[in-house]
Amino acid sequence: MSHLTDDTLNEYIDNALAPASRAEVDAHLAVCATCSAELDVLRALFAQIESLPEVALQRDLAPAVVGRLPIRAQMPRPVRWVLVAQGVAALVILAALLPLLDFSALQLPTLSPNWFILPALPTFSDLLARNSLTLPSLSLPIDLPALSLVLLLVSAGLLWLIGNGLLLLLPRTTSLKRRSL
Amino acid sequence: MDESPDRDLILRARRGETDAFGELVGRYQATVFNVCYRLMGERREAEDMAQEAFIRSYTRLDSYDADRPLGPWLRRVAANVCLNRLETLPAAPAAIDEERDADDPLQRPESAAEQRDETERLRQALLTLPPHYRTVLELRHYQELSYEEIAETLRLPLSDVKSHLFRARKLLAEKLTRNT
Repeated sequence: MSHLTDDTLNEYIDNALAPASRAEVDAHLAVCATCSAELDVLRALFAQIESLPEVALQRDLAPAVVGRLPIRAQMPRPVRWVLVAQGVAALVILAALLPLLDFSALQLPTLSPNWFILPALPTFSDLLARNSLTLPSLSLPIDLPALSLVLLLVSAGLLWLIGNGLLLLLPRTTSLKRRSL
Repeated sequence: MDESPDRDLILRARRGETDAFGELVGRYQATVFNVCYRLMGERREAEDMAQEAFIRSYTRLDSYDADRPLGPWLRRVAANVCLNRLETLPAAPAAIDEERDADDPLQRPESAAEQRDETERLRQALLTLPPHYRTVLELRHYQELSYEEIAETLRLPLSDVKSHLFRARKLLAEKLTRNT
């Protein structure tokens, strides 16, 4: 009869064996005095390890911990709404401007069969000279006069300034509050 | 006065209220300190590690599920902090404090002395184990984590957790027998 391995005994006592394996080990232990004795030794070790008493903490760690905590700047609700409004405004402007851009004027260089030869590549200044992004007109799919578009851009700019101003202000006020504690 | 539940304090701490986190430190410092003391074996070092564990926990509060019990999470963080520290220390066995565990006043003097010697022998034997062995013993026997939870906590393969744990027990048993 082969005996149980150390690993199996450890897993048995840790309740880490699958039910079928556990039943096999139970059956073996019922007839094997050697393995039962090994298991008792392991159980005694477990009991000894777990008998270690707790020691008393002799000073309060809270003040020292709190004094060393990094600043967690929580974004106030109004700032969050400004940021959301900024995001929405940016998307609206992007959607309004996209139809105005004439991409057909953009001439991408065609690659010659010898494209990998460096002198064959156009220089950046060549590309600039050949291409231009044009705004052919201010006609939009919706009837939006130029003045409205300007107002839209100014509003978005203001939103951006306010939002970023508040964000810049936030860490300063938090650190001032910490310093005054 | 009723105490605020941990969850409320965690949510307040997440909003930057350091006092709320200080209250949590007060609640769990004894248990976190004991994890560190078992692993480091020296009171001052254990206090430093306990503080580090709380600060690390604070920086990771956002990733912690506030509906789960806080104590086990803090103890796992503490074990990791200590393991990181132990890995930077030279391999020489740590010396435990002169101060010993408090006596039970109900015990007879000779029985208390025997108990104290036994405890000291166990602590000393634990402290001579390699850091990873010590840490898996801590997580399995004192924090009652499963093999899988230990593997997750220490980011080790399951097979490594088992081999560390079984070897740690074998080594500890040998040391205890040798010192008897």
